[in-house]
Amino acid sequence: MITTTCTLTFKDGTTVAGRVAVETPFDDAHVIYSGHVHRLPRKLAKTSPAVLRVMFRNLARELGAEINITDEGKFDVEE
Amino acid sequence: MQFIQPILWQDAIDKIGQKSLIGSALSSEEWSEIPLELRERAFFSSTIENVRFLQRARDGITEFLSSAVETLPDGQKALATGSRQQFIKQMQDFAIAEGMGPLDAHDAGTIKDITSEGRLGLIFDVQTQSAEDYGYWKQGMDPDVLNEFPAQRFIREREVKQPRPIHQQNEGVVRLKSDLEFWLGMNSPAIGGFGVPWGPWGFGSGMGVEDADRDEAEQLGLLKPGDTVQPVDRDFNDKLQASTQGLDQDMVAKLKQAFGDQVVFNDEENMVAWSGKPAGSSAPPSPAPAPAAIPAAPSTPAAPATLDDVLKQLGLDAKANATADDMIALREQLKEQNPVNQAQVIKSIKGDQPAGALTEANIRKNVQEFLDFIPPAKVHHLPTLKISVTKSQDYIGQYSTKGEVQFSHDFLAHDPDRFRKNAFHELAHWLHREGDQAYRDAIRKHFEARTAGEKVVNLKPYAAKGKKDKWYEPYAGKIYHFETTPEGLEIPTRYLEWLTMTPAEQAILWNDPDFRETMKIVLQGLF
Repeated sequence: MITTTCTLTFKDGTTVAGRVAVETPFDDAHVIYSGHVHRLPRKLAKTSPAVLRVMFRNLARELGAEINITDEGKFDVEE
Repeated sequence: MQFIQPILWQDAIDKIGQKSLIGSALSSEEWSEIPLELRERAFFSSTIENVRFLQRARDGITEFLSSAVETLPDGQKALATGSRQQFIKQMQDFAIAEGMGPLDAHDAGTIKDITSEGRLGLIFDVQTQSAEDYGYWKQGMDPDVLNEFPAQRFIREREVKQPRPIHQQNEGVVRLKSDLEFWLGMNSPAIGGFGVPWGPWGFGSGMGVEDADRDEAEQLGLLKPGDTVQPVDRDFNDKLQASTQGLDQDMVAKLKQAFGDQVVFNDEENMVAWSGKPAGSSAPPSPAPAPAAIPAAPSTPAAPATLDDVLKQLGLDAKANATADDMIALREQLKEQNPVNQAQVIKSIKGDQPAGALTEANIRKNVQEFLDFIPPAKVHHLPTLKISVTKSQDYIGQYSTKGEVQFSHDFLAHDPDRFRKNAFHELAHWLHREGDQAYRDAIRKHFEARTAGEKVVNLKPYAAKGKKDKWYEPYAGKIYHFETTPEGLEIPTRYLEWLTMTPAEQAILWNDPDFRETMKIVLQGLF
């Protein structure tokens, strides 16, 4: 099980985050958003940690925000 | 008014039966040199010399079209050839009994193998579609129908991988049925068409027609109130003649023998013209020409698509921000028109479950979904799949070698979505590791280029080592302990999982330049 959290910090100091927790790399899960969610021009309701990371990286570029990504936990099994 | 008149539909059935049987070892390329006007009236299949086989095939398709019945031993009546599958089975049995097979053993099971389901299915599909389209056109030439519906609209019936540009330009266009110049243009041999003013509009065109009524035709200025449109089929037949210049004399002799008095050869001028007489009889002239030749080899269809062509056609080659709709279109374009059936690929399934994600039916369904994207020519060079469901806690799925795939019951049995993505992952291993060297080289070089100068690190959150780069998924950078030169073994796997994602997810990834750079290389495996 891993939990991936992506956080954008805007120039005015406000933040918005998306978090998703999955059991295996082949899973999608509902994304839990927090902070200034209204500043996100698009969101995925459900996805994988990998896609969430790319989405937030793209948003960071587009919105001129700083991004921070953390992964907690690990995948133990082979694919 | 009755628009479908049996006597006209009979013409469509008759045209199959009136085709001249021509057994010949010519390849599809060599057949393409035969004048179109003769090919249209011939029942042949490339590299097939066995006339008895062709006779059986022609009879089977005619029976299907005319719903001919036969009396079974128990006295019951049944369709002689009642379905596509039955046709294929009958012809497979016949071909095997005749000792027929591919010229090259490596072509066994491929489209070049007359005993293969793919080849026989293609023969059946094109012949029956040709008959239906001809019948539809013929009905449209009935004076009463023509008066009510003098025009027809050129429509797309299904999305295809590489639509012909001229078809795209004319989608939705309405023209008079008598506008031979336009309709022949839509089916021109120059774009892989059959040179007739009815469908099919070339191999895998996806195009069709629908009637347009008089009101619409008048509104479009195609004709004026009170105008009468004349049927054109006889005009079309009268124009049929072709040059035999350049044809091998042996082939000319064979064509003369096969067509008999249906055609008139003018040896002095190297010309051949259609006499209008039906095959093998001295009956009155029939206006019914046969529409299309039997498809026989994969090289006959329109030029093969490349990924660049597809992206260009969809406008994705220069689009900065692709949408979910763009991804839906792209995914459809990546599908094969005649994918290999999973039954030809799966040698065995062991340990399948009675319910859940790992039933035999669901395993086959997911393999088929993957195969839908893979060119048959590539699939036929891969080893057959030996699939087993295991009780492992050590892996979710695993590809060994030579087509052996294991799926873990513990991780996958209760989650169809997880299984689907994992199935694509393991089958991508199969495609990549067992596939052609050029594809493996392209992936390896990409891995080298993208990770040049990087150190091998732990790929968190995985218990794996590799080069992290900017892969959208760290696991794509995995280097196995047995690799002396990193091959990028987890690049195709991770990136082809993209095909299982939602269009919105696909668009997010596609719009990332780093992802797109790798994905374009990975997708080369689908061409």
